[in-house]
Amino acid sequence: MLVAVIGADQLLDLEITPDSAFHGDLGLESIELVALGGRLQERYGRSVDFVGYVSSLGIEAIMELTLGQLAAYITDCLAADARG
Amino acid sequence: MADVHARGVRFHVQRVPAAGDTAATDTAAPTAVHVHGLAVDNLTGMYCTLAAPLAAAGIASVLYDQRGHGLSERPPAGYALADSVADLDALLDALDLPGPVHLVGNSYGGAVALAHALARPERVARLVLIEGHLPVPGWGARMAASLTGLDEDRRVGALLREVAGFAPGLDTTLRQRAGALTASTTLIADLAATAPVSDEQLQELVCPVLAVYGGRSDILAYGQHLAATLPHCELNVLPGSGHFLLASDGPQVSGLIADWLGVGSAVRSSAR
Repeated sequence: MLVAVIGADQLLDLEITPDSAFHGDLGLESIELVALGGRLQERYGRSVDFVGYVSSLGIEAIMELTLGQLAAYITDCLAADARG
Repeated sequence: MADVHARGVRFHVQRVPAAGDTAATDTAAPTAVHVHGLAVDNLTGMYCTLAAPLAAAGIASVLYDQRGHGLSERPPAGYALADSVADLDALLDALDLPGPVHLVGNSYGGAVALAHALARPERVARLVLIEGHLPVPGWGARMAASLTGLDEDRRVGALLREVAGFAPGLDTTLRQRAGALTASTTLIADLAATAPVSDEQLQELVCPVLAVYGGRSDILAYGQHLAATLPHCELNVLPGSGHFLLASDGPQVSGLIADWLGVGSAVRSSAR
């Protein structure tokens, strides 16, 4: 999914960890993070509220968002949905 | 749905359904279609500040990157205000949104939304202008001049940091983004050739308009002119704020919009 948004070439040389920041480490612009969020929304449906999440963070904070933070948010949403 | 083709251009589009809505059942309330600003802007700002509060208030949003901006295609030409209006009109068709819709325009996007409402009044339910530009006589030349050399102009970076509160570094990204656009397209020449909108045209606008401006904005006069000229315009001025209202006053602006669209009582926090 990341490859689809930012391209395979750019990811080849990157070491990706939960601490990787989308902007600082992976070079995503905020608009690319929004596009990634759109794909996550399609994949997980209404149980994940990506737009609500970035809205609660604020424009500045999403630039510092890490893979681990986003993954934890999605995991929490899916767990909450399963408890339902 | 991320890519939509209209007028031979690939546009990046994001749809945000109303809370509680499902893909299969559209609500009857008009969709809000968001039109972002010029050169340094894309759909991110409106996506991050307006879409979630409106969704919580029962209003679905459609956001798109204008041609040459964000993740949309960047054709070399077609950057006149009339092109922006035609792009919006064609996108409403491509997205199966015959209207009426709520148009929400930020900065230059306000000029696009206003011009679209004048050209296609039957497609617009309500119009929201956030620091909206207004093509008065001489506007095109001034806009063109302000974008010339933007990538080199460190004063713009200082302005973005001080007025809008952008972090150091982000202003550089924004200036580079704007410079790449103006260097590879006819944007500046197209803007310079913009035909002004007359007061007689403004006086014919039938839909209700909400105008939100900053008291310290360099284009507050446009808001005051709209309030004095449009038949149904409510002007809200945020006293201490400048032009970049979404960055400085996002929650207040989204609250004003949700209230004015008549669903304010349904607004609840989108934060989990």
